[in-house]
Amino acid sequence: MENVVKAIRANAAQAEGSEALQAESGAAMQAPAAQEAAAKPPRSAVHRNKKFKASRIAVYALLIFWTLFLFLPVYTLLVSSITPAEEASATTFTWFPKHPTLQPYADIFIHDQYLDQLGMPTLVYGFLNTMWITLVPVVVGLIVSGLSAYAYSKLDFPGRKLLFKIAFGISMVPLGAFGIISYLYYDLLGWTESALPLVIPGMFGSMNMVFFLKMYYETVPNEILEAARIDGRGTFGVFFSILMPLAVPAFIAQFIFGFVGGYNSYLNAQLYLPQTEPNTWTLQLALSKVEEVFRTSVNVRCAAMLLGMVPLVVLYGCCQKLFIEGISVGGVKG
Amino acid sequence: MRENGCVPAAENAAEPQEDLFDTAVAEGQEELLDPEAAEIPEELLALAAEEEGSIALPPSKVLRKKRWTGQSVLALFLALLPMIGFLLFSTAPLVISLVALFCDVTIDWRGISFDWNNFDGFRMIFVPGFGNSTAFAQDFSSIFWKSLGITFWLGSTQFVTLLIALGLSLLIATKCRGSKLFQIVFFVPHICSSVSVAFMWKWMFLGEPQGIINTIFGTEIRWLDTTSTIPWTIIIAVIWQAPAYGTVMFKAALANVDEAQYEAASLDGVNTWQRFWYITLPGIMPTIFYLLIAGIGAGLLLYDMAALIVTDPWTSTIGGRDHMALTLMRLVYYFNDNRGADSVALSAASVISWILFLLVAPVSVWLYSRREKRAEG
Repeated sequence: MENVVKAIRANAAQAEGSEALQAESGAAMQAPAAQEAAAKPPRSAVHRNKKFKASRIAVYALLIFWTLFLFLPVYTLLVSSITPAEEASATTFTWFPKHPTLQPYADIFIHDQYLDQLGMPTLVYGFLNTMWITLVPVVVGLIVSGLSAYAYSKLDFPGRKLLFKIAFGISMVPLGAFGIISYLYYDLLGWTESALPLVIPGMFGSMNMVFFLKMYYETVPNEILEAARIDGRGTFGVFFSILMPLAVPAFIAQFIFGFVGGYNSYLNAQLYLPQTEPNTWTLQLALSKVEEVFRTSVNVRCAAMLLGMVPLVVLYGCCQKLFIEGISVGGVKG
Repeated sequence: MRENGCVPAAENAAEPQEDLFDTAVAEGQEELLDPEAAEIPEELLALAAEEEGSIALPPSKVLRKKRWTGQSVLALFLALLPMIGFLLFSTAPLVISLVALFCDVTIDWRGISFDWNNFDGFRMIFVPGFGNSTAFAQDFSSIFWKSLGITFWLGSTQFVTLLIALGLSLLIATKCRGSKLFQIVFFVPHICSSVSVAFMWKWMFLGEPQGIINTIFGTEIRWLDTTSTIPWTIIIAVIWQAPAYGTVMFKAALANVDEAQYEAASLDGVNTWQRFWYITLPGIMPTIFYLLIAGIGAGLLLYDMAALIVTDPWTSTIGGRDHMALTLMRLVYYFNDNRGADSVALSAASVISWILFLLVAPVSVWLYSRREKRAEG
C-alpha cells in the first residue's frame, strides 16, 4: 500500500506544469488516490492518468480546505461547551479538555435566569414559541398560496392571466428595505409588543409560493381534475382530494423553505417581541440574549448555542435531499 | 360533503348528484363509479378542450365564455388572497413611511397624527451638523455617509460569496469520490441561524488571549473592538455562511447544462477553460443573475450578522467602535428604537429606508430584465 502511494506521489511530481500539485495537502489525499491506483490502466494511458491525478488531488485539497474552514468554528464551540470552567485557561484556548464534562448541557435546563418565572427552561419555552410562531403562518400560508395557485392555473375567471402578471410583477419589487420601518404600521394597528406581526402576514401566503406551486400544478393534467369534478367534487374537493396530494413534493419543498426561514429568523422577533417578557421570546431571540439568560458561565452559553442548532441539523440529517431541494427550489423567483 | 358549504350557488343544480357520489367515494366504492364516469367525459372533454381551465364551470355553463359566475368570483377571491396580504402588510407600511418622510408621525391612544416637519428627516441625514441640534446631539450626516460606505463594503462580500459558491459547486461537479458527502456538508451553514453563526464567530474572535483566533496566531488583538478589524469579523462570518445557498443553486444549474454540448466540444478538442467559458458559463447565467439579485439585496440590507457580532456598546457610539459595523439597516433600527427621543427619528429612519429601497430596486429590476431577455433569446 505504501509503495503504491509513493508511486503515485512520484508520478504526480513528474507531471509538468501542474501548479495544482502545490495545493496538495498530504495525508488526506492518500485514500482516494490509492483507490484509483488499484485499478491501474495500461501503460499507454499513463500520461493522461498523471494529469488526471494531479487535478484530482487539487480538487480534494480545496474541498477539504473548505470543510475544515466550516468545521473549525463548530469544533471550537463544541470543545468550549464541554470544557469545565476551572480548566479554561486565561492565556490560551483549550483545544482538548482533559476532563470533558456534559454538565453544561444539563445546566442549560437548571441554571437558567428565567426558570422560576417561566416554569420551564427559557430555551424550551422559546422552542415552543418558535414552533407556533413558525408553523401557523407557514402551514396556513401554504394552503392559501396553494388555493391561489389553483385559481390561477386550473380555475377560470375573467382577466386571469393579466391578474397573474400584475400580481407577480408587483410582488417582485424588493421591499426588504422597509422591514424595520414597517414597525410604524404595526404600531398603528396596535400589534407591536406581540407576536402578531410575525404570524399574521405570513398567513396570506406569498406570490413566490403561488408562482412555484402554479408551475408544479401545470404538470397535472386537467383531465384528472375534470374526472374528479364529474365524480361530484366541488372546487375545494378537487383541490384537497386530488390536486394537493398530487403536488405534495412541491408543498414539502415550500414548507421546508418556510420552516427553516421561520425557525432561524431573528430581526422581526427582536423588533416586535417585548424585550422584558421572556415568555414571548422565540428560540432565536432567547439565544441572542444568551449572556442574559445564562449569567454564570461561558460553556453553558456555547452548549445552548449548539443545542439550538440541533433540531434543524437533525432534521436535515434525516432528509438532506428534501432540504436541499426545498431550499434551493423554494426560494427561486421566476 | 365537507366542502359543499363553500361551493357557490351556481353549482346547486348538480348538488344531489354530488351527494350521491361523495358518499359512494367515502365508502371506498370508487370502482363502481368508474364505468359511469368514463361515459360522461366523452362529450364533456370535447367541450372542455375548447377553452382551457374550464373545469371550474359546471357543465351547463361551459359554452358561455368569460362570464362572472359564483364560481369565478370564488376563483378570483382565492387568486387575490396573497395579493391582499401583500397590499395589507407590504405596501401599506410603505405608504406610511412615505408620509413619514415629510411628517412627524405620532401614534398614541388617540390614533395617528401627521405634522409637516419641514424636511427635518432629510436635513438630519444630509445637512452637516443638523443632528447636533436634535435630542440625539450627534451629527448624523457624517454618520450616514460612513454607514453608507460600510454598507457597500460589507455588502460587496456577496460577490466574493458568489465566486466561492461557483468554485465549490464546480469542485463538487467533478463527481469525485465523496462529492455527495461534501455537498451535504457544504449546505449545513445555510440551516444555521444568524444568531448561532454570529455567536460562533464572536467566540472565534474573542479579544482576550484565550480567544481562538488569538491563540492560533499568537496575537492579543481585540478583534471586535478595533476599528480596522471590525468589518473583517463580519465579512468572514458572512463568507462562512452565505456560499452554502449559492453552492446548491449552482450545483443544480450545472447539472442542467446540456450534456450534448460538452460532448460536441470534446470532439472539437476544446480545453477545460474554453469549455467553462463557452458552455458552462452561458448555461448557468440565469442562476448567476438570480443569485446576484438575491445577493445585492442581502448585502445592502445586512442587519443580523452586523448587529449580532458587533453589538451596540453602552456608550453613545452606535454600531461598534467608530461606527465600523453600522450598516444602514442598523441605523434605521437605531432611529426606530429611539423614536421617543426626538420626533425627527422616524422621519430620518424613513429617509434611509427609501434610500436603501432606491439602491436595491433598480439593480434588481435591471438584472431581472436582463435575465428575462436571456431566457427568451
